[in-house]
Amino acid sequence: MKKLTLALLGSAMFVAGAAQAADVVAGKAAYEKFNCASCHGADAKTSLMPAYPILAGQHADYLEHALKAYQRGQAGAPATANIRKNAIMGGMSAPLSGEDIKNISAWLTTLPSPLAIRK
Amino acid sequence: MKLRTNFKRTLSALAVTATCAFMGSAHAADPATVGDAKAAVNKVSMCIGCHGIEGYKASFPEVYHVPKIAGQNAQYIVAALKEYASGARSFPSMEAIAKSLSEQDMADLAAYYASLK
Repeated sequence: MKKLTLALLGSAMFVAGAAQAADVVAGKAAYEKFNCASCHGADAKTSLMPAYPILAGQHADYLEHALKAYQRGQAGAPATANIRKNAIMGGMSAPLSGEDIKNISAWLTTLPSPLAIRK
Repeated sequence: MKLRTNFKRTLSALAVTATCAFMGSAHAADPATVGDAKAAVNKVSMCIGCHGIEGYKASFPEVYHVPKIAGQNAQYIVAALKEYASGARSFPSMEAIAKSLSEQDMADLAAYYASLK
């Protein structure tokens, strides 16, 4: 019984931890708050310009990486640190916290999307 | 005073709109280079080793799945390749590949991947 309680407690903590790791609802709110939709569209797949990427359905970990790379570029990190320098995204990514990035990416990856892995 | 604030707001809103329009036109792909998806069939060999493999990951400095590019906007694919070629994006393998591509190669590959919806 004690073991069962411990196991239940453990799994409850694991679930709580996972929920803390990325909050999809907060991600949607942050996407709106930081005006991502003004270029990428409210559905994150109808971008205002075809030169802007579809974000809906993209891998969450890639989206996190891209945003961090824009932040590194904006902060003046050297090229060896894997950076992206972009006038728009440098400014847009700068105010995002690590939590915002995680949440926004977690929400984006759940959206319906034409993106796929194909040869 | 209130009028003045409103005027300022209108001005700054206009400035933002103008900047967006300017950046947009600067990003637009060169209309001279029209992509041919069929021509890309013989050029995708350098893409599929990473982007065609389910679960493939890159590892620096974050560990992440390489992006899904099938179904992506063609003009964005070209813009991204040009950023790798110019050094605006740094990632060794993508820099090397992007530098090896001509404008036509980029347009063809972008047309091909955008067509895979």
